Amino acid sequence: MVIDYFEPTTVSETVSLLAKYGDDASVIAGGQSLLVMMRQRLVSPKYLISLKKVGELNGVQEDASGNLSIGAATTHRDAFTSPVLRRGVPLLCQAASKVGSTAIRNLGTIGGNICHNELGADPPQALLALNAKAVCVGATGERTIPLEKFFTGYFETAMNPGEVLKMIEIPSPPPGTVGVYLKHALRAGDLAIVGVAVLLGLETPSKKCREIRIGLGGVASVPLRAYKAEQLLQGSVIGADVVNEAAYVAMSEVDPVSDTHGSADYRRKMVGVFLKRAIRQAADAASKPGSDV
Amino acid sequence: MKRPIHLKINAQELEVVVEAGDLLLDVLREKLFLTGARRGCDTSHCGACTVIMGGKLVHSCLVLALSAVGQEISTIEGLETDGKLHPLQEAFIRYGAFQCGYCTPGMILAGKALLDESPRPTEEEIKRSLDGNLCRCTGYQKIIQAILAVAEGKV
Repeated sequence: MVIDYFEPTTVSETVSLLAKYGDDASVIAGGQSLLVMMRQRLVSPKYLISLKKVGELNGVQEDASGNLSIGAATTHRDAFTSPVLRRGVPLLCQAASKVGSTAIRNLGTIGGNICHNELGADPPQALLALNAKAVCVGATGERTIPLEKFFTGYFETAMNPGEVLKMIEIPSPPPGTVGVYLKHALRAGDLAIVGVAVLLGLETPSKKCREIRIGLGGVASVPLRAYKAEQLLQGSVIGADVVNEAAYVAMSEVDPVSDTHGSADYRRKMVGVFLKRAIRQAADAASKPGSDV
Repeated sequence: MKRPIHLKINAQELEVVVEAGDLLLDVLREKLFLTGARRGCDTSHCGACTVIMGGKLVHSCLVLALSAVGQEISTIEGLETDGKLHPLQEAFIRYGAFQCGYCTPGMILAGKALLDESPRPTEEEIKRSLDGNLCRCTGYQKIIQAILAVAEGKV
């Protein structure tokens, strides 16, 4: 049963409250995942620390080089409607627009999504493909965790108890790269059976791949980069053969589980199908004259 | 920990006593007797609990009552003015867009939130805005038609 509810206005106040109440407390941002877990009795915090008035967790900043900082409490909707993000990292916007359903995107936050780290979430693989970093604050200060090290297991992250995610930093993507996010799910509101994020840069007209990053979600115990598939594609001329080969390699890099939405075998196959589709779409978009990110 | 709070619902300031963990849905239904919002699934998928908060569609089963303080909340009960139905309500009747009526408040509010922001949506945009509202009876066709009819000024 929840005994008390707080609305701190600074990160520092939030961290103090977390230190004071320890394991009995939970932060709550949009609450779109936490409140479900509480109703299912998976977690039972006695103290809820709302983040909605912590100004430092909101806002999107872009520096002179195009590097981005996204406040952890940025809602999915604010993310995909942000002109700065739509221009700089449309891949993340595509992923954010696929989370849950309309009402969930209105309140749910990007930070909450990655901290919750549920299998089949959408933003994590897009952020991995964007080489994002998580900035966390705890009693001992601030630290930055590259996203490849952030996701440590089902519903687990590298954050320590008492820490709060403050912002997500994304380095400016290389110019001319194109992002495609594909989500395989049966219904709106579902988590992804397979989520594929591709960031691709092509030399034209040769179609030689000069930048490739592949983020995959829903297909292993954590969202991951398909590094071997990337290595295969890097420097190659993008064509059907190399894309097929890369798809096979990616299929060997994942470790899906079977559940009611699909068997492990099916998920593995879908990695191949959706990765090929995403690369083709990205390659098409990247080949258009005057194409931009 | 009981706290008296003020909630702004359908343009009225209402005082209610809540516990820290109370959901907006339960406060609406059990303390304010605004039973248009329903507890349909308990897993946040069905949208029968949908209300409009701060101009945005939200699932009231996923909002703490305490975090709704200071926000303008619209429920289905607030749509009619002086006994006159809102065009969306008229349209739902005219187009036969409900059978059991359980999902209907949520559907109408989803339509309202969309039209308030985007008065001329396409059919695709309407479908997408209903993505968090499930209906087991109608097959959605007439719901979409009703919302489209209002958007096109036919109602």
